[in-house]
Amino acid sequence: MRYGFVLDQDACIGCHACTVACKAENDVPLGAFRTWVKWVEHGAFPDTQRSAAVLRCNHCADAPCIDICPTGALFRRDNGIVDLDQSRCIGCASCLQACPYDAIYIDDRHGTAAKCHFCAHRLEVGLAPACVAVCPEQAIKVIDADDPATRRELGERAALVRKPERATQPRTYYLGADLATLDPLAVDGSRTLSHSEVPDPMPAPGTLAARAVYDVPRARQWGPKIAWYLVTKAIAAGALLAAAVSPWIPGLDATILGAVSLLFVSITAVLLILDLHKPGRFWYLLAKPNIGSWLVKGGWILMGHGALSVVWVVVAGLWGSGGGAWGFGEGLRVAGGGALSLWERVGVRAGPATLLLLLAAASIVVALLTSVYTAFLFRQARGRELWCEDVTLPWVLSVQAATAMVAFLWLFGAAGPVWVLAYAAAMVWATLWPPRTLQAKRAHHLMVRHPAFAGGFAAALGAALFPPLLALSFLLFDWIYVKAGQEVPLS
Amino acid sequence: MSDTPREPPPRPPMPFLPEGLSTAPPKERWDEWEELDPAAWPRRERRKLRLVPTICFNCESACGLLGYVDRESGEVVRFEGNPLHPGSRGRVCAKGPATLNQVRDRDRILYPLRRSGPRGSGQFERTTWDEVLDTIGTRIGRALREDRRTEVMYHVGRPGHDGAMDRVLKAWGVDGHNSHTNVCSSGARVGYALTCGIDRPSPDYANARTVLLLSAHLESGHYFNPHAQRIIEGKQRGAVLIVMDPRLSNTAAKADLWLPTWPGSEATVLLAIAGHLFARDRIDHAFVERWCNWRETLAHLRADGGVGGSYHDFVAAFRDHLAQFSFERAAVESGVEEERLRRAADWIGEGLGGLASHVWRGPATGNLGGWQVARALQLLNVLTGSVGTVGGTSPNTWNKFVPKAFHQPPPQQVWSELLYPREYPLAYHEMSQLLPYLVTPERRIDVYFTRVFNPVWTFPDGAAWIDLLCDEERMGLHVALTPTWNETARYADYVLPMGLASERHDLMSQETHAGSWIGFRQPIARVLAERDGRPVRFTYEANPGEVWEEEELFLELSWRIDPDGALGVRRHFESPYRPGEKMRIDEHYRWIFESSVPGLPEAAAAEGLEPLEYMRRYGAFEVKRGVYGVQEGEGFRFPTPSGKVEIFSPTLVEWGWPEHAMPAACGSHVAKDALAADEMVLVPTFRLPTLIHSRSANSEWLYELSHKNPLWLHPRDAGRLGLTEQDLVRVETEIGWFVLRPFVTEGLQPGLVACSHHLGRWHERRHAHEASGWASAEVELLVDGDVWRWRRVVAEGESGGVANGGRWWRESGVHQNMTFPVHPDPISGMHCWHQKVRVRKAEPGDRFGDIVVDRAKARAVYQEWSRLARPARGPLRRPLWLSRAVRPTDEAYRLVPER
Repeated sequence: MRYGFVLDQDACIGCHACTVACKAENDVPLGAFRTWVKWVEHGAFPDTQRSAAVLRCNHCADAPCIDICPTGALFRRDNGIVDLDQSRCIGCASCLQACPYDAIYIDDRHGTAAKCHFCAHRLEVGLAPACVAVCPEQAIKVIDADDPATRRELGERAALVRKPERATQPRTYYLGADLATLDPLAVDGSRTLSHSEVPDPMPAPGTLAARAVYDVPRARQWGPKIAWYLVTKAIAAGALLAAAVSPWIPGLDATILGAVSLLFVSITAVLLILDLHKPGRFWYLLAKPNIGSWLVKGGWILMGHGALSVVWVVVAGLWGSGGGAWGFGEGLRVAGGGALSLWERVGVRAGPATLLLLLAAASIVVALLTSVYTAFLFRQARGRELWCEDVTLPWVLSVQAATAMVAFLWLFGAAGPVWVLAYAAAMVWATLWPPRTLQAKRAHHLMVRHPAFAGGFAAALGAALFPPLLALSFLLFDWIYVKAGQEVPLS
Repeated sequence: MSDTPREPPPRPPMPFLPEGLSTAPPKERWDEWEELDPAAWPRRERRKLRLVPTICFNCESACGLLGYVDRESGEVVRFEGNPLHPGSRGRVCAKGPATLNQVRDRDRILYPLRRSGPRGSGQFERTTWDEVLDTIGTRIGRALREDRRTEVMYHVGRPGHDGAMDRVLKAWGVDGHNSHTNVCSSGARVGYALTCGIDRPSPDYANARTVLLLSAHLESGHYFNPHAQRIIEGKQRGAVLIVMDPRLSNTAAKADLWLPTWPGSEATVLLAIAGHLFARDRIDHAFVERWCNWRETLAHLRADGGVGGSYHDFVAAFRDHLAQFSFERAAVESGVEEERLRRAADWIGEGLGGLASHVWRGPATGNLGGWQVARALQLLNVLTGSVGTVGGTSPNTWNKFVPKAFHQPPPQQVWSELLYPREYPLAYHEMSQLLPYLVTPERRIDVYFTRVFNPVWTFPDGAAWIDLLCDEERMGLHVALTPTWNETARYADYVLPMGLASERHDLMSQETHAGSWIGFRQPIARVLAERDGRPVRFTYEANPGEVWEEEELFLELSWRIDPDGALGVRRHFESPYRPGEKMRIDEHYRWIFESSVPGLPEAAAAEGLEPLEYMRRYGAFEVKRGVYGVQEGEGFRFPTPSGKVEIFSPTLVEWGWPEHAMPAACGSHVAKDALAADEMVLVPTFRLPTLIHSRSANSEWLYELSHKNPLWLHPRDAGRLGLTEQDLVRVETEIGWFVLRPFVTEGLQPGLVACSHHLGRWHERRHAHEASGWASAEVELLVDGDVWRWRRVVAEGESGGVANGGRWWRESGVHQNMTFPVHPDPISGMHCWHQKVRVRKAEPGDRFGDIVVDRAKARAVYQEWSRLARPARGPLRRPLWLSRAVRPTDEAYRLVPER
């Protein structure tokens, strides 16, 4: 038995009884909705049509929210219900980015995520979900989505699901629904609705045939902190990369670079923790990890990054660096004697130069991971197609890290300003890469037309004269990327 | 037969629940229910609850609710539907669960309050129920002793009970029942009553072939939830749904056919359809011949004035009469293309015997002559023989069961001209909208109860109401009985908190389908206390604060009016079980359930319960099911003078309206040909499924869903007027204007504008402490002679900004009714709501939410419309056969010449 909903829009009258019953049952705060009604209008008088749809969690068979959740707070019950354990939730809001359906919200009173859980607590005592019980039209139906006869009937009745192309395998089905109510990209949003307001509406093309006449507000979860996190992470990656090459490039100070790397990776971590709605629970990432989540993997990578930064500080501090004057081998033999002897015992004969090379190689890999892992995290954000469908993102992030590295080299007098052009060229290349989906196209359109985007290029060129401007360029690009990714409505 | 074939019946809907799940706990476990605490989930924390049934108070449908009461705290934690209620069948609309907001509302009135400053000053002090009862009881007692029996008035907004107050007022011997019906439904009632003697329809939607709505029963109206269930059920069984509405309501949006008729054209369209039925011979001749007054109708139609003739002659004559209502004419008047009208006619013709139709407010409420719409609609039911049939439409009395209480007091012997002035002899209900003009220092009110009634805000010409309520010479003592603060209560002398759905007793029945039932509203805390053996003297001892209920209040008050029984009032409030002693409220209901409800004592006995106990446990009882063909019963007569359905109305001829003797067009004040070139028509009556007239402001779940009422405007008009949704627009009525923003939509005919009537609550700063601040705008009321001006103190988008508790919305809408003058229909008495308006871009000085009225103009419009009336000329004030609320003795109908 796997539970599913059928929303019979032929019977539904859009009366909002389900919305209110759900609020009463589950103590849903104002401004948030586990289930809501959207009304859409199209056609010219007198052939005007207005249609409603009840929107909510799809209890997907392949639920992106479960994949991205770093602590396993989101989980699937044996009966198919996608449930959430608030006591495990750290409030990272990544599930809100992963869900393509706007089905999850942050409950500000608790700092944790919340969503429709099929009234699992009622099912256990034999009661239908509150929305099902209240519905005047019995338009909300509970089905066994595993039952072959039911599946056949859904096929015969031409049941629809929302965004089938997202391949989440929804278990909330629609009968008789107006497609415009299910596809947010087919409908212009508006600030002027028939009887409510949306204080901060999402931008819309304004040219579509259909228009939303009733909708609910929704918040953009990730703001400047996430943009700053990308910037500080790129700087940390650049610093570690520069440290990694320091033994072979005269003039670089690995102590300083290691320290800078450590500082910025720490700032990165602090920003991440501060962005949590439950910052006190950040350690759940380690204690209750969902190892499939790139938030968890990212946490490990950042820790590795921090550790390697320390190694560079310690090693270079003890034995000096710069100008190739490395007393490295001896020092390492003393400091890491135990480990070294272990290596020797298992038969690896490594000289100091080899070890240095290994350290450098490890640092380069980790620094690049530090930079690039966000691309994999954003790929798990399956609701935001600007991000998850973006094949250029790993490369852009790598380029940012490499550019940051070269900037450090330049600060130490070891490189010239020409590389900035390479960075700018890479950003042009990424901009010109065609977005793959309609949502991504809309978001991309918003992004490139935003003044911040041009500002990113201007700051990049300015960096040729004044390298710290590079950070501003990163910030502008990253900020508009994060913002635009969330500007297209999911529902 | 039909030119427009319909779709084959659809496949029946999928089952909505798998085995093992139900929508509510089995009734055997209601007192010992255990469930998992949703707040703790996914931890499994069990909590114990008790389930007590009641009925909803948020509209007149009386849907069954189940209060889920936490055993530990004794508080209701949520409201769901009562599955044993035959009308609502366990399901409710958004307003049902929202009752919880109202119960928990921080701004609610918890104690009886007495005015401590000048009227309207906003100064009140807490008082005791004892003082309240003494003061009011003494005052009413004096009025009765001095035989001032028209000076005590009870004015009801939301009744929420069936006839309980009629009994009280009769016991007092006063003619003092006033209602809101003339701003609500009396237009349609008159049309129905003149035709078949009964003023409301009871359509059997679930079994209909064709459903024809001139209402919005999929989102509002009496009775929204129970009817919406059955309309959709009918659709699922293959019925077609036709909706006539100038605005694309949500109901029209669900229709198979929307007829967006121009206001005032509806009767013409319906009569064109009637003509089409004759042309296609889609007539149930057997029914018409048996049940219609066709002989009188034929006699009236015969130009030669001759008598006699066959049914066949009648058909020919009536067809000739209907010929004037051609589809061509209907298309011109309605602005709807002929083809659509013909398709509707075809579908209605197919509904032979199975036409379920309804008009409640809508066109019957909006237009001068709107009552003709109900008459024309009822004609279609009659012609297709869809009366009392499966899938047809019955008169409501066949499906509504009102049990009698112990001891019926005799009717009062007086007639109040404040209620039924002689100028409006056919007015079906009290001319309540004229009250501010009718009350004079000579014809004053000594004690005035407003009961969940907010005329300052709900009625047209609210300024006249403020004026009346502030005038101590005309208005003696104003007692506001209300669960929430409102614009009217602020001008009262006493503000007395009355219970919500879970805090009061009432007994109700409504015609929701072809069957009948009773539903019992009860004070949950009191019921549980008494079940546990803790006696409660008065409901206010168990309720939050000292919130009371009308029924018990009036019982106590009646004893204070007549402490020694000399006035003959007291005896009607003595216990049926303990002679001479004061009746207790449970004795009142015990007697009804034991003695007046057929089948209930037996059903209770089968469960081993007393009837009262049965109703306290289950909250509802089905009296009859499958009520059809009542007219086939022995000696049946329709309660009209002829005992038949009256196509021709002799009453209208006798009472001075021969030109309306036959079903005819409305002659609306807003018909297309009644407008000047720059005038548009405002449809100000439509409602939202989520709001409760003037009582939503203490439910944040409901306001979160609906909190704005922009002006619906067709894009073509927006273009013509140079308006966008960002502009401020001024809507000028006959007496003033209001300022708001447009919502540009293809959802109405060009030339019309529309605005939801629910929103735009306001308060003055001096009343801020007694307002739900977030749901009403703070205004300054500036009076300059006859010109009254409401100007917002807060900017647009900030009226919701007070006491923000997660409330993200910032608007509460703009009030429009204040700018409407009274428009009493000379026949039905109905206030004709639609307005001729001029719509234009706002002036530079205009601000969002501005309301301006000129009271001199309002008086002039009142006088102009009053001149349309044709007073009774004697010897009677009103036809004896036509029903009247709280009917006095026949003697009181005698018209005495006015001094």
